[in-house]
Amino acid sequence: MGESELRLIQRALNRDMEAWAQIMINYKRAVFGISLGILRNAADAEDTTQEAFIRAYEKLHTYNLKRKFSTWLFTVAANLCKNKLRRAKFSVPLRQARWIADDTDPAQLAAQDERQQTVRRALERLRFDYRAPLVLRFYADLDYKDIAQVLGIPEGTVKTRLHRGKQALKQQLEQEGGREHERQTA
Amino acid sequence: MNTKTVLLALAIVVSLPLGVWAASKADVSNLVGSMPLAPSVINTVNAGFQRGIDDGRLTVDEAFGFLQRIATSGAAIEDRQTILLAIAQSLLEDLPVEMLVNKVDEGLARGLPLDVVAKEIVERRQTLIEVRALMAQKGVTIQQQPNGPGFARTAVDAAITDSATVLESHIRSGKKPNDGTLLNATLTTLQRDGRVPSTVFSALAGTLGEADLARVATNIESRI
Amino acid sequence: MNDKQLDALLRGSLNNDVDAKASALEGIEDRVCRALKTKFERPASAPRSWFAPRLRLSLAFAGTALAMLLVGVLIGGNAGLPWTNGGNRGITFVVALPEASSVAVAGDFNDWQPVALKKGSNGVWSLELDLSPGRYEYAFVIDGVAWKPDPRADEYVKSYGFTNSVKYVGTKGETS
Repeated sequence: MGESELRLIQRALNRDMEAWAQIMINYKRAVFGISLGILRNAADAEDTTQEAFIRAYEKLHTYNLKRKFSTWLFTVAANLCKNKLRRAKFSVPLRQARWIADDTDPAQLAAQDERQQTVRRALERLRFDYRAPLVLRFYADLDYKDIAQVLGIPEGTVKTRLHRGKQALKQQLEQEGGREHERQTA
Repeated sequence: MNTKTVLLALAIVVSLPLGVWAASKADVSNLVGSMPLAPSVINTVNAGFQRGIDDGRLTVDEAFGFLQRIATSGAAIEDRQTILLAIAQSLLEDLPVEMLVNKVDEGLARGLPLDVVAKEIVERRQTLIEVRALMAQKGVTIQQQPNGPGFARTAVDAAITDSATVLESHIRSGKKPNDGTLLNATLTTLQRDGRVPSTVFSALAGTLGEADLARVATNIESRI
Repeated sequence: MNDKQLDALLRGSLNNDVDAKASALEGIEDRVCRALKTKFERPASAPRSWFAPRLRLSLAFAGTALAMLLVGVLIGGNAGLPWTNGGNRGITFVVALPEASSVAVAGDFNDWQPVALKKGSNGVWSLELDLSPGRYEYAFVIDGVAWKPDPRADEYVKSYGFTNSVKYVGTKGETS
């Protein structure tokens, strides 16, 4: 960890809000990206990003300075996401906002590889256990060790879930591809 | 094993999402449909759980998981039917089912016979109905229109569930309905539950009476 | 489709989504700082008047109201409550059972399917769970067979003839 980041954290621990603001500036996109990838909904991702920084600040005294700050912060975010997806009975209901796949504007879609839309829909249908490792790897670029730490699972499990998750996506893409082929040759 | 049981087992296995995919509403329908219940029962149970999902009282995964636990519980079909109908009908009547689902899961986990669990669920459902009526009398209802009277569903559900739980626990501990402690116990629980906002608490603290609660508690006592 | 193509698709899709929605992040530092300032400036034990005064109060109700106020004062300030962790969003289950070979907790928060606690060096078992506000019934399961209440529960209730433990998570005003 860079010395300046360590100093920022130490200042934040001393209630220096400016230091925490700087940390947020550094990490907000990453936290948002992870939340968006997992929750599949911009409004909820925004709420979660805010909550993550609030909770991380409240728990900052529990963060072990010897470990990677990003991993610790991402763990806070991932747990919030997991909770939100999990139990309707016990959580504030997710905002009835639109899922990314329905909310992507046509111009943007036109400019992208159309298979990205299939990937979006498939990601929506994946369980948290398979979605989260994919997001952490392919959005946040974490290695297996860090993913394991963020999710609180063994590294071996991370590899298995990444593999099975990708297999499932491939399956969807092939099905979509087949349908697309049929449409074109019909 | 007869053909029906084999088919049922296969149906459940087939309807299990392959671990990777989250359950869908269609999976829930299929699972309900695969149970050896009369068609009208299947319709009611499915309608109830779908409504519960749409109302936000259950996630799809929760509904599917719960139905799977019932389906694989190995209990007599009559008892499973009783439990499923009690919960489905409650959902169709816009009642919170958290207490019912929790009690079923607890019963299954503790290894209790499902006929005991079924009896308990039927009884508790009646309490929920009475508590809901009492809350409504005091102005605590679910808001139906954006600017209309009432409170958020989660708040009202929590108030009903907590009050019903307190009354049930009181009677089931062997205490008497008229011992004068119900109001205190109920308000304490409501006040401690973070899902019950101060607005709902104020409404009830100002209007709920010991006699109101004693009446419901007496009815519980007569049912047990 | 080969592996590299799929990796690229995933990366592309996830990154494009963030690019499209990142405007939501504008000013988030300010919002968070404001929220934190409010939290830390609120006096920990300010009693809140939760009930509208009523003209005709029976003595019994007045007594209850006073009791409620006291309870409110005690609970309203969540700092220092031994059972919450880092700010009223979870439960820490802690129990000293040095003789046990396994301790698990089963309750409303996990469909009553027992989840294992971790054993500390001093024979104290613990588990921290991130939970949303609410009321949770549960029991400890010792050595896979004995279901017991928690000495550190907020409350106890009867269920199926057994004694269940209860814990509350969250404070007023977090949900509407």
